[in-house]
Amino acid sequence: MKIISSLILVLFCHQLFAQAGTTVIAVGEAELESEKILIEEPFFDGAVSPHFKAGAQEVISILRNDFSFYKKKFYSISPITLASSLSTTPDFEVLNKKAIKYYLKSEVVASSGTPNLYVAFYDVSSKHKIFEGPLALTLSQMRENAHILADSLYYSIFKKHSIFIHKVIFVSDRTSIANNKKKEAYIMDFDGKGVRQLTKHGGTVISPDISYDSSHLIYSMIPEGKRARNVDLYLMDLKSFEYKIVSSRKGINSGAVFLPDGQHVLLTLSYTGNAEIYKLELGSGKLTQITHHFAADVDPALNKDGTLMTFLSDRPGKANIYTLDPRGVGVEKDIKRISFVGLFNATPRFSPDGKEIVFSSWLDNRFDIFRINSDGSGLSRLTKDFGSNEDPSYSPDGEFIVFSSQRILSSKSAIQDIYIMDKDGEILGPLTHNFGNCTTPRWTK
Amino acid sequence: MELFSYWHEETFKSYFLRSLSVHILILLFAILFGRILDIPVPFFNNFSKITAVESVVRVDLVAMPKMTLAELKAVDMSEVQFAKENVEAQAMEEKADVSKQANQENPEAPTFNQEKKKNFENLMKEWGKKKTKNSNADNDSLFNAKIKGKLAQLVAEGNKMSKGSALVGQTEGEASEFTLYLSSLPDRVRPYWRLPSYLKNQGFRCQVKIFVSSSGELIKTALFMSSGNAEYDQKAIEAVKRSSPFPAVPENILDRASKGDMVLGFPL
Repeated sequence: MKIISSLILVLFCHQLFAQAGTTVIAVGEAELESEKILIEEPFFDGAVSPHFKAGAQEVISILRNDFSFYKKKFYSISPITLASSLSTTPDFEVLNKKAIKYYLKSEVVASSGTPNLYVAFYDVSSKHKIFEGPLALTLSQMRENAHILADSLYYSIFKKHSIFIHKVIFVSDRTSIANNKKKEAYIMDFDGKGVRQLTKHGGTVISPDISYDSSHLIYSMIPEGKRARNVDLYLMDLKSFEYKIVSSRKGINSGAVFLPDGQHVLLTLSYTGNAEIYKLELGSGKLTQITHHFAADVDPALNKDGTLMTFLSDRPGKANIYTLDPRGVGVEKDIKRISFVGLFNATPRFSPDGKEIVFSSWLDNRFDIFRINSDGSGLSRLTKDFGSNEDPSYSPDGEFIVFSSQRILSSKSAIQDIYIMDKDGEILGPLTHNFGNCTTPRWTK
Repeated sequence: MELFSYWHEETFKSYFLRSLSVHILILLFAILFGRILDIPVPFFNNFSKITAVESVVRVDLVAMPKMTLAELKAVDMSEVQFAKENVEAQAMEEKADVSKQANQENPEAPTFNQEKKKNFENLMKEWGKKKTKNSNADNDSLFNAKIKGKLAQLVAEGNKMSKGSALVGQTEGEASEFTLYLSSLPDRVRPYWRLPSYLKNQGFRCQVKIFVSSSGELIKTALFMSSGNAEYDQKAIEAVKRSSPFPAVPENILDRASKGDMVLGFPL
């Protein structure tokens, strides 16, 4: 009885509404963990001639270099085992111990003609071979084939294409002689190699764009010479290098971008006295007006499927970024203002999925690159203390941005080069070097 | 016990038993009522009533950002928090010293006669006030110089998620301190929270319950809610283990911290 009573007394002394309760706090989304990838040296079966050996080794080094661009997804480690024939299965235990996630073996079998480099690509944790195939060691197409192979390997992991098969078009003034400024359009691989000249007008080429199937180049050009110069719009066939003028209206005909069908471009025309954006049908020359405002509307850019357009407009009093749906007829469909701050915003460009816009803005006496979501939220700065950075362009997979950066060399000279960075602003390095002033880069689609 | 000597008296016994039964009835009603009204009750620890803490505050952009994404990631919010606590602690100490001084002087006041006492008291009060005011100003300027500047800069910079502190449920000192401590943990765990590409963007969610000792050592972890993917759960637990030891747990929340009231959500 005593015990029971004392227990009951204790009970009543106990606070009835004491604090309790599990509390959950969010840690948030994880960062991407980069995986170890091991690309082994090729194995040579039989007497393979030296230049094919060198070719095979170059392919391997191109593969390693390509994967190194995706710094946040992979890091490459040096070979730890001796090269062996493809017939020997990899020692997954050893690889697992070293936490290697992806493993590539390759082999060249001596043959009378051009030998093939056979590769086998493994996912170590599942012990599955996720890709295998031959690569012809045709020396003239070495780089191209190596990039195609690298893309196939990347695709086997992520089920989407990488930047390895893409190229970048840009404008350079390296053909200028003394005070005679000339600017031509060029194309190079995504890694800056294999630069080829596309135009040879001797004038000033500006704002080139390449069609979705990479068959045509559209650009504007100011011809050389001192007579009254118009900025005309040119279309070039990239197989034959034949070109023709598709718009020579009074004033500017520039900033053209292709629509996915390859038959239309969006561009800025000022022949009415006011700069507006139009859709031009390349075959017939038919014009459809897209923007309808008395202020200047310039510099259109599209998302991957051509359903969203971003451009620069003076309508709020100074240049700001807007978006609209370019399929509107007679009206500006779904027009929306994106930027509200910034002294001078320029060259807005969509990410392929249309969710982000990258642009350059004037701040602290130079241009820097910024990124904003398409709904106007999440403005972030990507470059700083890195010269004056302009003309950003998103890669087709949305992971990288190329841009041109100007460094001051002296009070009289400055140099512009094309650089590549990841979409969060981590600069990987320059793509052009010693090639004059390189500007307005754009990826193939 | 003396009480039980009365047990043999009939009146006492009957009144006691009546009182006992009434109290039991009240207790039962309170528990029932509590369950209906959703008030936390100790005997029925209802695990389904979990409070989620949101400690992220979005700052509106008023100008172009000065800091790049990379720079923002490098700023350690916990540094700012630690520094702030330090300054506050200093401020507290100084305040205590000043009030001690004022108290020491006051006891002398009663020995004087009324008039003089009043004057002296008032004088003392004035002096005391002035002193505290100055110290406050000093503390403020200390705080301003070191922390407010940094915080204001971050806020003005825009586009930075700055920690707020949410008061959850009861507004006693304990609850907010608990929440404050809990809010400091995600920043410590996040650098270790990494996933390979095949586990990202799959919609996995898991929650890890942590038991922390007074020194901040992680006593143990327990999977509170599984994501359904063993590797995902493992990565989350690893992140927690690698980010310990945590800051020392304040005494008044030690009870909750060591019995597993803290749960970390990956991602929420």
